[in-house]
Amino acid sequence: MTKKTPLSDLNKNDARRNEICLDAETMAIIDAQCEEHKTNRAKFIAVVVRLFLDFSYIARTVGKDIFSFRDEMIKAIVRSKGNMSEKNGDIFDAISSTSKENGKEDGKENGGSKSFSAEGFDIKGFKEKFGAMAGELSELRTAFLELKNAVSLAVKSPADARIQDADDGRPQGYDRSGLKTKDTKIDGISIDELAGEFKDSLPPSYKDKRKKLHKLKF
Amino acid sequence: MPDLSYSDVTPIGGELGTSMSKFCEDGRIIAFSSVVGDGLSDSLEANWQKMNRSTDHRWIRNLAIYDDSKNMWRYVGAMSRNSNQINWFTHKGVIQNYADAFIGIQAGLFCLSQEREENDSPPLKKVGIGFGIPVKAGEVVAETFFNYIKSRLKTEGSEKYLYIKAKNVATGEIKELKIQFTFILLQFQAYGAYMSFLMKKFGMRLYNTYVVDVGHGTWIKLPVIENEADINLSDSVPEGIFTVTSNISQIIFESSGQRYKIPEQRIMEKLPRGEYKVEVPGSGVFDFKDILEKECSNLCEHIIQAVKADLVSINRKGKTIDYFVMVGGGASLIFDKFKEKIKNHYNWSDEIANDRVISAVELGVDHRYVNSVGFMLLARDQIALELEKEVNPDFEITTISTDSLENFRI
Repeated sequence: MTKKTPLSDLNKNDARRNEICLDAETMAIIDAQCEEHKTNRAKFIAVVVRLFLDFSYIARTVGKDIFSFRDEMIKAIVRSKGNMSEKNGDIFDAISSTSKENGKEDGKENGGSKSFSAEGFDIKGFKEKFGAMAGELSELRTAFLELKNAVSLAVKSPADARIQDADDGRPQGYDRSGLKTKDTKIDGISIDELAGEFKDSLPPSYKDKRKKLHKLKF
Repeated sequence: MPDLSYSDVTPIGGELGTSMSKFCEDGRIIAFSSVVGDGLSDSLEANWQKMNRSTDHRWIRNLAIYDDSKNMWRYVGAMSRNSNQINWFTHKGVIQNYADAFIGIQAGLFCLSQEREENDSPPLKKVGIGFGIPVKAGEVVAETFFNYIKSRLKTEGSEKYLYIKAKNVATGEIKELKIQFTFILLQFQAYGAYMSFLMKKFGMRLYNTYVVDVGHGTWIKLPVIENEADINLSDSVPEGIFTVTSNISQIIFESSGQRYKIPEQRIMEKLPRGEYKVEVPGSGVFDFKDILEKECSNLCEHIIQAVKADLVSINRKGKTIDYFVMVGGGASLIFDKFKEKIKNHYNWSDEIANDRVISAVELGVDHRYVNSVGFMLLARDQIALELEKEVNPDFEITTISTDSLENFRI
């Protein structure tokens, strides 16, 4: 997915680490965040980099760069504002718990998930710190669900979904506890179609591209 | 170094459409029928003047241009109603006769200049023209047409001048005009619409845009990817609103027992007024609304099939279309259907479809004139580039003059 330098190749005294010169404003932001989350700069930056890689991967999957993806997410939030329901919240929590379980399984099999595999990194403590942000991110839930559903449907065809439902031995439209689920119509769309919904959020400026054309001069 | 010789060049946009030719300068647009005809003899013309009871004495309605290649007056646009034989500038989107097309350019520039004078501005002196040509014309024809224009200009020192001798047949007034030609920039017809959207709607940002221009005799498709027309996918198809109205005319003819032929022009005139009934002598009133709906759906289906095929090619190249634009005289009949089909193709919500499938209404410009506005902007941009300045993207159309009858009184 992303080209990485093997950890063994990185000397602890590598001069490259000294080349990362941040401006004062960025340093101030980092320090404020470190203080808020009771962590140090190195751990904070490690998490930021991994989050960037994750979101960058998701953005590429839907055919966008990360900044365009961010802009479209904001627009999706604006569109979905007011449409949130308790049900959505429950589903989001379920997804979160599923992710935790997956993380544990991955941890057993692969020695840690892709996102949180830094050596000696205190992931548990850090997740607790970021947990406080969950309330502020509640508006992201609906948009996230939309995206997840779309991507899941692209990966798993509707036919597969029906087969799985049948294997579970319950009729369509009922959850595992046998209760009727909320009637939500989700049209299956491909990744290409999903990308088609997004127009370029950061198109190049004509001012930078304008050039003298081939004029027929008299 | 800026080329200061461009500082006094007036940008002009123009196109010779299948049915109407349009020219734009700043906030002015003039439009006249793309037709030229031989003038009457002097004695017949004098008689016509005496018997003409129309109070519409505007130049654009009664225009004749002197054709020095034939040494005779040629009637242009509405005035060609008095000609024995008429020639349309284009047929199926292709220029028919360079001499006739040249008359069209002279007529357009003269009328624009006349409009300026009537609004207390000086006449046109020095121009740079952004000019739309039919897609099918291609590079060779464009170059040949340019060389023809060049051969008709008068050389004075290192400069080229266009001499125009025009006559208002209704009043008998004759005027002469001398305009210096600086450059002409040829582009595919629908590219003008793209320029208009780029400057006003897109805020000078480069969005990949698929332009469909539904005209009278042809419809044009032109994908613009990263600011450049995709030549392989652009095409003009000899099918347009004429196809719709002539089919309706034919159906009326057959339903009347092949007794009465209603000219398609009669049907065409009714459409902008929202009238869908025509009286057929002996058969009563014929309501063609349902037939119109069906014919427009058929035309839209042909367009959408071509668009979908192009989208596959564009996606294979790793590109996507940000906006779909429909312009041209037929857009008012086809646009809603087109938007619905694009929406269904992508499974878009109404909100996304409204945002991504747009028409010239978004710019506050009539569907028919948006190309000529865009070519004016293209010429303006090139002049600014020569002067090493930023281009002014603003435009506001304040006056539109056509050769349709005005102030009709008997």
